[in-house]
Amino acid sequence: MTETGNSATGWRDYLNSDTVSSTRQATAQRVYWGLRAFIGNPLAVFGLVVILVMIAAAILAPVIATHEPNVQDLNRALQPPSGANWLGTDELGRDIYSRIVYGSRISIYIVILVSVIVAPVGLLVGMAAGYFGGWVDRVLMRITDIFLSFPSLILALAFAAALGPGIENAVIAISLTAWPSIARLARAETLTMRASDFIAAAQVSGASAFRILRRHILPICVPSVIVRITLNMAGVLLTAAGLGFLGLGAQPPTPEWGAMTSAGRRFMIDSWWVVTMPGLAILVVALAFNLFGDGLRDVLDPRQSR
Amino acid sequence: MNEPILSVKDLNVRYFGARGAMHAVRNVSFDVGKEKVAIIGESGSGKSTVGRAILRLLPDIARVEAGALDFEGRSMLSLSEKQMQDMRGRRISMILQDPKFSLNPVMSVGEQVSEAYLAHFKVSRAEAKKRAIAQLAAVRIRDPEHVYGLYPHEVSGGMGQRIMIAMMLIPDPALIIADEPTSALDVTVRLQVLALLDDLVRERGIGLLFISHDLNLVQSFCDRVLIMYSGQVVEELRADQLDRAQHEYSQGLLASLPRIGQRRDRLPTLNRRSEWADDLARRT
Amino acid sequence: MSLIDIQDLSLFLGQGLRERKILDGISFAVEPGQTYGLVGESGSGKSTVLRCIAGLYKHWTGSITVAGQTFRSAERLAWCRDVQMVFQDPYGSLHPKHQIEDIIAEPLHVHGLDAIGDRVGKALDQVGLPGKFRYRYPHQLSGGQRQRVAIARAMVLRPKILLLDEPTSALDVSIQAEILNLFMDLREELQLTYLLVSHDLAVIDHMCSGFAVMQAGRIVEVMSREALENHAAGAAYTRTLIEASERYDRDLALRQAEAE
Repeated sequence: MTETGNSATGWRDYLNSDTVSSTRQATAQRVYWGLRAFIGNPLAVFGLVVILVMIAAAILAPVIATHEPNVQDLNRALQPPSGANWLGTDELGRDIYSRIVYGSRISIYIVILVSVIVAPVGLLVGMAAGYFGGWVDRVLMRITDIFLSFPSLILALAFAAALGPGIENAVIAISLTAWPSIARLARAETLTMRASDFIAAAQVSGASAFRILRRHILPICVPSVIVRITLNMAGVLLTAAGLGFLGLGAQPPTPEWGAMTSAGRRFMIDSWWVVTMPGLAILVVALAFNLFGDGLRDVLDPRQSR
Repeated sequence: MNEPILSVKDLNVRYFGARGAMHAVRNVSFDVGKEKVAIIGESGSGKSTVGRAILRLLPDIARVEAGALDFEGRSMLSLSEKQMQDMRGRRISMILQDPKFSLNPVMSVGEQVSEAYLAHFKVSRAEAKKRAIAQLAAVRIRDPEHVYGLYPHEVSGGMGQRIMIAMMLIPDPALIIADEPTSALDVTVRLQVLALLDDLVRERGIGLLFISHDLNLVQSFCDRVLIMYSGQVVEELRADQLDRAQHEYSQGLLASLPRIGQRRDRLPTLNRRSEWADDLARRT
Repeated sequence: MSLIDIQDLSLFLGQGLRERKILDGISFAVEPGQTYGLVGESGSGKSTVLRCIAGLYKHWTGSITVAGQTFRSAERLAWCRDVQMVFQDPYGSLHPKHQIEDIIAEPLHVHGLDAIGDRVGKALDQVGLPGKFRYRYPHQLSGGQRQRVAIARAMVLRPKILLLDEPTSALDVSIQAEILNLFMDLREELQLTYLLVSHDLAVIDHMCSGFAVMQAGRIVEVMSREALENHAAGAAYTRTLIEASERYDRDLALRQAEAE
């Protein structure tokens, strides 16, 4: 690439070339082909865009919100959408648009926290059960079965009722019911791999069980776990909103979407926007996570796609 | 001179995949009479594609063209998909490599043979069962009444392949296309399955198209051999004359095969030449 | 003294009612520099013997001795440095998400060796793979190239013994010839000893000075290459095996069907 004018073709060669001369180039090629496959799926791209918009809204909330989310103005209660309040105001005169923007922070906070708790726990339990087999497998899987047999919302309800309502307790409750499906997935992946020759080859080279799990089994489990977690995020979001709706999640005046729909349901007949706007936000974001997860599966885990 | 059962002229198969077109089979022509004809070649030579193209079993991305594709004197090119379906199984059968993947795991093997008969003939179930048991006996399965009720996982690989053959034979086909039918089997079992196919050709006058990578086997089992390389037939000769093959590729392939009693420090390796493919393209 | 000495090796697999004896009192010895063969049909237990020696099965009875050291008394890492294995299926024996470089370097990391980059380069060179393959993934390679990578991985620790489990049966004949030649060259160059499992008597005859014929977990007969070439098999099973693998013979098939 001596001429700057050729840098575009230079990049294309770099990404398509058969002669790969560094680890970095090999990685770049994989990412490039993965991206190309992903972009070929418009619904997944739509999902990704919605998620990115939501993340941007969460980060830039003070900039793009038009009002303070918690400032009440009873003179302007239950105003329909207008130039001043884009999505109208609620029963305390708070700007719904601004509350939804700030509410995205809470949704993202919950989703990320649940994923960070659930992914390592599920992977660890599932991989250990699958790799070691025998009584380790039996014990771990029976524990998983127990957690799997609780209906997630009911367990979350019980948990929130016992520990007291709040976002953190909602996260713990949701995590408790979300990790078993990850553990099952990781176990199934590990089982199919355990009998394979590349694992036998690693054992013959003298690698320890820990090393085999980390270097050989983990890289194959992670993509499908990422896909599953992304698909789970919609459910997590809905459970969190459900808890908020029932008054067991985020507490007022926190602008959580579920709590917002709950507060607005008394005014639904006269002031439809109070319920509809946060409800739409939940719908669109949950849909976006599902579409994005589907697209991600096609790229990361081609075996599972249709 | 006996009339050929199958006659293929200038068969071409092209795949149109995501990464461009691929010319998998180029101008392949051959006849199969009441005899055992082998197509041998290495992986990627297009030998399996030929068999599947004849039966129209290729995926949608494949385009098949042929100058002529005649079966029992009738052109198969003009057959509708429905007529072709009837032809498959009824007049032309296909035997695949691994019986485990070809048999339905939740149906007894005997019922599967019956079904194959019922699919082509309107008879009662009892009659079909009688025919199926007779057919199982014909492929030298002892105690066919017992075997009739077994499930695929309860039979051995060799037995499974015999059942597959029974299933393929019950509608009384005129041609069998066998794609590596014995490569998943042990040598002693392989011998029995081959003897069975041998008898069919001798006694029933069936034509056999035997697709294989095993030079040794083909040499002693088949009547004629077509050697394929990169989608083309490089040479056609009588099986017992395989050692006198003319083409450099055939010779290289034969030389690279280890044989008992032929001690060599190194095996000659094949030096693939790009001209081989080009030469032939020009010649045809 | 023999480099490999197996005495009365037996192994059960499965549990309860489904427990089956896979190996039944296997004994044989391999001299240094020799290529010794194990022949048999599927289910004869020939690959299982290799897996026991490699330490993939540990609950066998009997004794396995390599270079004077028994398996039970040897340190695991030391054993692995002496004994390495090449598997049958070149598509299943390489980690699909690791680059070729990482695959070959992995045993070096496990054993904490230095100069890893150089050793990987040398191993690639020895198995006849150009350096450009270093940063590729297994799915970008052909079957023969993958098997070369698997051989490089097995050799990179400089073992005394390579266990070869049907190393060419998934490959085309012309590729098989290249890989068999490579094994011959490496044996010379690195003073390796091979234990070769195959169902193909021609491959065994080409590679091995002696071999054992296995059936249903037992050794039926031990033969030399000369005995094979002169058709001087003692056991009836071995005779059938040899005749059946040399060519198709209708009379033999009928005789065998009668005998069953």
